[in-house]
Amino acid sequence: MESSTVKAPTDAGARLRDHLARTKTGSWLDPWVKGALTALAGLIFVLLAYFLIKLFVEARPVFAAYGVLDFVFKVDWLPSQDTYGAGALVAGTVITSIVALIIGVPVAVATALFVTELAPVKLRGLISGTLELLAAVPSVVYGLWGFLFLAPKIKGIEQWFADTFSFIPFIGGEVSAANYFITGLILAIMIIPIVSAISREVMATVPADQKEAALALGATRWEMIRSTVLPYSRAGIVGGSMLGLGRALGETIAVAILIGGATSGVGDSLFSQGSTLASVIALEFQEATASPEHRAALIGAGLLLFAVTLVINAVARGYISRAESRLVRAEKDAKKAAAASAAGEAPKGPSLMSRVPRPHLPELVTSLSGRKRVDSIARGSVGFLTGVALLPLVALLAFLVIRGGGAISWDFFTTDPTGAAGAVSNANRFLGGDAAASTAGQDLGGIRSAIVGSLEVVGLAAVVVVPIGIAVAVYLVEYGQGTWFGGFVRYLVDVMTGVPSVVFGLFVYISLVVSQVGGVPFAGWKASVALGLLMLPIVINSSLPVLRLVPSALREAALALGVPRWKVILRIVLPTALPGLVTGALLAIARAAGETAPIIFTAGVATALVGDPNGPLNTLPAQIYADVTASSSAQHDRAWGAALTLVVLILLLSLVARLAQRRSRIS
Amino acid sequence: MRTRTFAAFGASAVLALGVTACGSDDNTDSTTAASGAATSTAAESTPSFTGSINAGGSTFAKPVYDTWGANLKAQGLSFNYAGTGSGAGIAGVTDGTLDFGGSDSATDDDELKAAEKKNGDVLNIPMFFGAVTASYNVEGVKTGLKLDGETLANIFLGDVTTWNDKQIADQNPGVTLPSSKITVVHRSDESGTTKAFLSYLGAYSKKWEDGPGVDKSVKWPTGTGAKGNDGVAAAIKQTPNSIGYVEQAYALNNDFTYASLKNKAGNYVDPTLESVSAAGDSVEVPADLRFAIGNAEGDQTYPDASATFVVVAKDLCKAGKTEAVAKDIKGFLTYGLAAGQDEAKKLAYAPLPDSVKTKAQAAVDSLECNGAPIAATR
Repeated sequence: MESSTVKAPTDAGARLRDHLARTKTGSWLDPWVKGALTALAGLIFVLLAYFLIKLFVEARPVFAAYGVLDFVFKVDWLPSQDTYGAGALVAGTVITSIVALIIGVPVAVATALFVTELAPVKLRGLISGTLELLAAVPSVVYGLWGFLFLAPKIKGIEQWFADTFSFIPFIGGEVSAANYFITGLILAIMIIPIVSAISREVMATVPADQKEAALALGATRWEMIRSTVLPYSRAGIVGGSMLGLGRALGETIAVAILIGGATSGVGDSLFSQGSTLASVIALEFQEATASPEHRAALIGAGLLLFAVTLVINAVARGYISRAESRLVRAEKDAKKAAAASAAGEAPKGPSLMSRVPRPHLPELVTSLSGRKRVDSIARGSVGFLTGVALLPLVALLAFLVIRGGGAISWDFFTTDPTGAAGAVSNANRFLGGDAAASTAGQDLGGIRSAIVGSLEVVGLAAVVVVPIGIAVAVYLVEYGQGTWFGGFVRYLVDVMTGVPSVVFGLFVYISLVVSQVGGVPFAGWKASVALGLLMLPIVINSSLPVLRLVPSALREAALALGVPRWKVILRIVLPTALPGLVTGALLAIARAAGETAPIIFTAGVATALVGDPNGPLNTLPAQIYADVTASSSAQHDRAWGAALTLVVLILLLSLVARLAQRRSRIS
Repeated sequence: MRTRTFAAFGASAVLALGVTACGSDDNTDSTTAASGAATSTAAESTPSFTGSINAGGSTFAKPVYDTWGANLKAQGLSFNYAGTGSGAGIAGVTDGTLDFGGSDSATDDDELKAAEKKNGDVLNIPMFFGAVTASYNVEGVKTGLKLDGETLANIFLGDVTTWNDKQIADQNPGVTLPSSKITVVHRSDESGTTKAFLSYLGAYSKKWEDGPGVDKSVKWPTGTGAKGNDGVAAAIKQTPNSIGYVEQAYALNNDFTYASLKNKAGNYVDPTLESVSAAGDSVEVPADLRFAIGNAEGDQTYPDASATFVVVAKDLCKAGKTEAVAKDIKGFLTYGLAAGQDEAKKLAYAPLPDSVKTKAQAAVDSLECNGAPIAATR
């Protein structure tokens, strides 16, 4: 790293001198550039303010009619009778999220422990890389897999469990194919990568001397973990779990596919079907447009979801930053202690340990052999849980490759979906003797228009949003540091990060689709707007640290030579940070490419290859969603093929992003 | 040089083909003109199209509309149909997000009023008939059970809970029924299929009529819900001992066993082309074409048949569509009422009786663009 940063200024300096020779003027542009960047940052405020006001205004009728408390807690959601109490949806959201946390967090923490403390070094990268793969799989693919593979497979187990443990409240009775539990299980699999990644980061910061001290005192591996690693990283784990919770709350498409969609009441067991706030928005928005009450109720549900996610995310960030700041403090203390001991004073070891809350757990096993047994059992279960975390990924990938690979052919990529639902088999049962009329197999077609449409929608969003996002990040780093406005914009960006994608979809739907902006209701560019709103905070947040890492010596040197600030940004800051910026942008694009909920709200339904984004467009996620909710197995096959294509595209993007990151000179 | 000549030759050949193709089009058009504009002929059902139609709604009718759209693709039509349920179809017309909506029950007065507020006159145009089947997935019962409306209502009310319940067994002597519990599957979205099915239940069960009632979605006393005919079909497939109601094409596609239902005349009738078509024989079609064919008269009439409608603004251009789209919609519907009827038959739906078809075509011909009749698509 050192050598590379030394290299950067020399050639940047050469470039600068070169440039200065040609032009020394241009500082008159500085206030304009600053103004423009500030205006762009202000755009975030305008966007978010409009977003909130629009949602509030549209949702007001339902809050006025029911009162906030009744709307939130009354269990009575019956669109056909125009009654909207979201109690059952709130309950469904809470139940599925709790299931996800109970299953997901222990597994995620175990994988993090395994990777940081127990696994052989060779395995570490492999396991964490695999978990990152899990994070890249889009929601709709989880839904597909859960619905077509997992749900039928584990129904027997669920029924056995329900029958055996029926004495436990909320368990027992008839198991429905779509239910709270299976939804929670899929959500658990989806949050494992996030929780695990954050836990890993925090665990990696546990000072090695503490761990070594514990081991030196004769602690077993497990005792070391229990007495140093876990207490030290508790806040980070809690924060990571809450971020996972935020994700689970807002998750839409996988839930909509798996939960069934019953809204009138809370199911009487864990294995009955229900609805969540997010799923009901996705499943009912098309019916709702003509009925103002229904529409207001759905927007109210979206607002509620937004508010809850906002609070959860804020708390999560609080925990995580507390964990981080404690690390900073501990490091400072360690430095101080080192300085003190260098100065010949008595080392103050305990000051470091005193920062960490000491658990006072009664020691149940004290004999050495007993302790060793506990150690091996604990390590064994951590390893086992890691295997459990990897299992779904292996199953998912295997199925994707087998089922998806089976569906793929040259024609699959070069033809459009015909829109036909496949042949009606057994038509003779209807036609009687009129066998001549039976249809030969109808051609379903491939997914060409879906691939092209996805590229179009995501590309359009990226072209507009990536530059804006980077510009806002530049403003925040170069001008906004320490100003109230900069802090305010930072906060708004964090708020935006927490908005569930389905709420963005709903927002674009009510503000652009229903009002037919551009002369048409559904249009590809409206999907780009929804995806863009989603990408913007991601691009900003991933650009900020990269820009901050540009050594200030570079900037100062250039400024000292009399180069105007805008040129410093353009010629020094951006080129130095470029690889990191590219990585961030690509990751944001990869995330957007797999999003389904905002697209089905905005891009409409289309089968043909369309170049004009001012009209309905087909996209890969929408195609998968349409095919997985169809009943014919031919369409399911196409869904697998499309899912494989989408996952491969997203992985390619992530791969390029990682390569760009590796090329980065500063990181 | 040589390749260029070759290419030129190829191009001229293609051109020549194109000219012949155009020529034949012209011919058909002139025959149409000659035979008179008032009556629709087969020739008029193959117009060429200029753009795209974005429609949606009924999943009951989706297979047919999709097939029509796929058939007309060669003539330049780009047809998109979102299977979102009849309720969403009507809503889409009301707020203008759809070019036309598919709905299996004609719009009721409230819906019509809401739709006409923004769009001016809104038409219900019947397109074809279909059967709602009571499909089930019971191990060992491969033949069609006989069920009457009251028994079916009791199953959906949760009063009949096992397959070997006396009410079912009495109607099916000789069939071995398991003692397993019945799982009811119903729609979770607003659906015309639901309304058609429930009107059959409501006709024979006062308890149903007074309880959940007959509507596109109701408060279900029991069972699990799923979205769309597809969703219900998938749920039946995945759930042993379940019963649900799906349009016949979905039942056939999934190889479901479905019940013979007792009709008004007291006979148990299987849904077939004949028995579903029979439901239209005695139908009285009012001027606004809003009719239903459920529980119709006739010895061999299937009682749970349903007509499916296209809901569309009469003056398409005033409702915000371009003239090109208006022409395409008219062309699409005209095709559907002519050559499309046979396609529907192949997909296990029943064509409209001639008397109804004439009225439906008249309604299609009455579509307007800014007050002027829409010119026949050339």
